[in-house]
Amino acid sequence: MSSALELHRVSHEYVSGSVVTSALTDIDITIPAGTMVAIVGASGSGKSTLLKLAGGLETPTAGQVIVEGMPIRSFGDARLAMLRRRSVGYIFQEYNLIPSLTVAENVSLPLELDGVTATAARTAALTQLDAVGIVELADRLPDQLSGGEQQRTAIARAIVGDRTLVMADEPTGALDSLTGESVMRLLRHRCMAGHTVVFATHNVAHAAWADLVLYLRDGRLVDQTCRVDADSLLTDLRARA
Amino acid sequence: MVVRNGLLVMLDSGPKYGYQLKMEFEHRTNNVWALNIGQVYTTLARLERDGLIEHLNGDESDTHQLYQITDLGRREAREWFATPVDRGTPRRNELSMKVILSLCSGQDPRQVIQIQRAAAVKRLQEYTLLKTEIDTQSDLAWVIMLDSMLVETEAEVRWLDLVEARIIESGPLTVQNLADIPPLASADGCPVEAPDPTSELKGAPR
Repeated sequence: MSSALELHRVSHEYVSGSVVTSALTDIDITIPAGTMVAIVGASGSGKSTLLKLAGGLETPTAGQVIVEGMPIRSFGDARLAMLRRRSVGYIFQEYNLIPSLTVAENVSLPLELDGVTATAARTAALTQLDAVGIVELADRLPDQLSGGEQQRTAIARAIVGDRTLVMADEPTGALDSLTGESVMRLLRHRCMAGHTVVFATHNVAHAAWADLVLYLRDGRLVDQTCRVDADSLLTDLRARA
Repeated sequence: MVVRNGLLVMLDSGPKYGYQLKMEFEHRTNNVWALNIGQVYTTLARLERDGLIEHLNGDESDTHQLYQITDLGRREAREWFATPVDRGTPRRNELSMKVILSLCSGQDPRQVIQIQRAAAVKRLQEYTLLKTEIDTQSDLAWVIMLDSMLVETEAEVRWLDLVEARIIESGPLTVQNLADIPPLASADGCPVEAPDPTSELKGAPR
């Protein structure tokens, strides 16, 4: 399986005047394509910084970030902008939908900004809205949707076009338990359809939907747990219950 | 108590045979809890002894008796649903003791916490994996069981996070406080020299 994302000895510092704050130290991760990865840790542990570096929103102070086989440090501004637009989709806790645009327009917007015709962009948007189960809401405005539906819209927007890498920062943070679970289930399905999903969360139960859980503490990767093979797990648990 | 009250609940909807009760119990709980037929008959005998059920036919063979609930049994079943489950006195569990003892043993308690947390997250992943493979509508009993295990494990992780935050916030003071506890006397009455429990922590990265 090819890797969608690699971080090699990545460190990052924020400088404010004479104060240097180390946000991440020596992070080494390889994420195969089609996997779901959760980043967990306390506030200030470096979760959001790791997402920003992995998605090309910031460049690390040291180390190498490789997206789909290409080191992004070698990219110029134009190519980096293209990476953000075409390869990586972003999902935020507060959805970040444009209130004056319909659901379909919100989803098609990234494509139209990239030069795709309005008709083709709408077709692609409707395909993704169908994939996340809310195509019937395409012509509603965001404020007519529930929180879970708005987050589904944001997921459709993140995966529209050929983008296969999805970065999500607390995607269930504003949702109740059951709605949050349905969003995790949806992201899981996206992985099974070939997308790679990396998300930061403080909710360890939602992190457990991931194939790989990365635990950050003070900017360091202190642990990682891989998802187990499902074989016989069901039988074992039923027997133990 | 679950089997005893479960059988009463099954009988509340009409008279049944022992094997029929076993099958209905397992079906209603989506096979989450498998019942041993021997356990069913033993429990039925106790319920009958206590006047909560009675058998309808005269056959003395256990396997061919039809049981029905009595008024007393019906009241007991209602009371069971109306009463909160008694969780008992919180036990001194091994995990709490292990973390507490690591504070004064020269071990890095954060390492103990991290090992446990990794195991707990793995368990969470296992339970979640099972949830992804079942229909939450048709297999509701199983989902409820899994949710219970998930929430319990999630609580363990949250507790570990809290302990870790407290240890980090307290710094070496917590350990120093424990070190201030008077040393135990040895068998010959001489004080045992306690090792410096802070030595490992003081050098550990924060």
